[in-house]
Amino acid sequence: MDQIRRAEATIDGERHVFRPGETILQALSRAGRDDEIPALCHDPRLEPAGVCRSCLVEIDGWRRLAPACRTPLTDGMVVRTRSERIERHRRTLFAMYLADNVDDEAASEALRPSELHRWAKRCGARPIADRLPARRARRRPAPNPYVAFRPERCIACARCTRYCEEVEGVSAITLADRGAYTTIATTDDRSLLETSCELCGGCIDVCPTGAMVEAMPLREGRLGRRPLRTVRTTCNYCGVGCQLDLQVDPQAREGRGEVVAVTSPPPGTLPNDGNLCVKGRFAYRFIHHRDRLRTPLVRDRDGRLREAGWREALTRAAEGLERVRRRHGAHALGFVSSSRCTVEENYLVQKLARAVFGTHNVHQCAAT
Amino acid sequence: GGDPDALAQVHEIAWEMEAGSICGLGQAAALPLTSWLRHFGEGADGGPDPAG
Repeated sequence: MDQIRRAEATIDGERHVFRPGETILQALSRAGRDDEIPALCHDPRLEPAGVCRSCLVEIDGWRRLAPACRTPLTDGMVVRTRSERIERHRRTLFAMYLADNVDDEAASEALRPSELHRWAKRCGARPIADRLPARRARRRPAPNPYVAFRPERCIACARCTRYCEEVEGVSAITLADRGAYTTIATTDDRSLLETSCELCGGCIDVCPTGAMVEAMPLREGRLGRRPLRTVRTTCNYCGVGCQLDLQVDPQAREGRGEVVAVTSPPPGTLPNDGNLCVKGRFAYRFIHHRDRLRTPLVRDRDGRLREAGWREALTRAAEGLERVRRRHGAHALGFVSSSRCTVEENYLVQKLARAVFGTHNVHQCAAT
Repeated sequence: GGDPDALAQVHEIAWEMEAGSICGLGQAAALPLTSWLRHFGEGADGGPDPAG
């Protein structure tokens, strides 16, 4: 039987068998080599755009450099991701990007390292001359509480606008104006709250430079102050089970620690592929809210709540529930929990309702 | 005379515009500049007299 010959390409001297339509960058990613090529406008969740020009590589027989993110492999193609020509290109390209961007120190004040500055350093690029003023327009005042835009860091890679269109499907933000003035805008310059924006924060997650950034930690001066700990956890709000990363300042609150922001795990992380919704991304302030109970409270005959110990409170609750069940039946009881409790706590509440008291009357605000 | 460092940077940017641009507009944009430098820049036949 004839052996079917698979299509092969050579990248940096190594043979790569590839799937039809696969791009150079995709093949490298599959081989675990995607950190070797800058790709500032690329995200695996988005259609490749090829606009940042940082992923250009050499292909034998091609006069021009080609964008690895957008160029499909062909049988027998010979690709080089390293050469003097590519190094000169990257050095100059990043130097141009840096020319009207922030310096290394400002770039480091962020929850996520700036991909631009990291690559610029790696390629030995330095800003062209004295810094040019960034001409990209700011957003109008009356900001929303969650998403902030810092135009001095923007490189117009359009990851944010493309995420908004392709992943979230609402097209709330768009590129506006041209050339050095290219900026991110909304219709009529409206506040995001008046657009179709879902406040999913995907624009923040994909931004390679921190131009799109979380407003709360920014306005509270929490960015770059101290190294934060990253804690991977499951969102408590609904039944999907999205994975998210809590950014914890370990020394805040007298060493007890404080969650200062939520970031996405990398694309590919199941089940949510790094995507979050407004609740998972921004509704973490309940964790340290000053209105949270710190001790049990019981209500006396005069109707007022007072602090009590656990034993007294649990006894009071158990006696009261049991009294109702005896007099009026189990279905006279209702149990209401909260989506701000953990999955485990909500499991226990429904066990209490069903197995202990014998009623299905149990609910919490995110149950579907 | 010009600042040699700045001139070198200009050449680099012109090179990058041709090598890295996504379309012909960018690829051609630096041509008037490089053309002028070649014919009238320092060291060219039409350029400034290096003696003064």
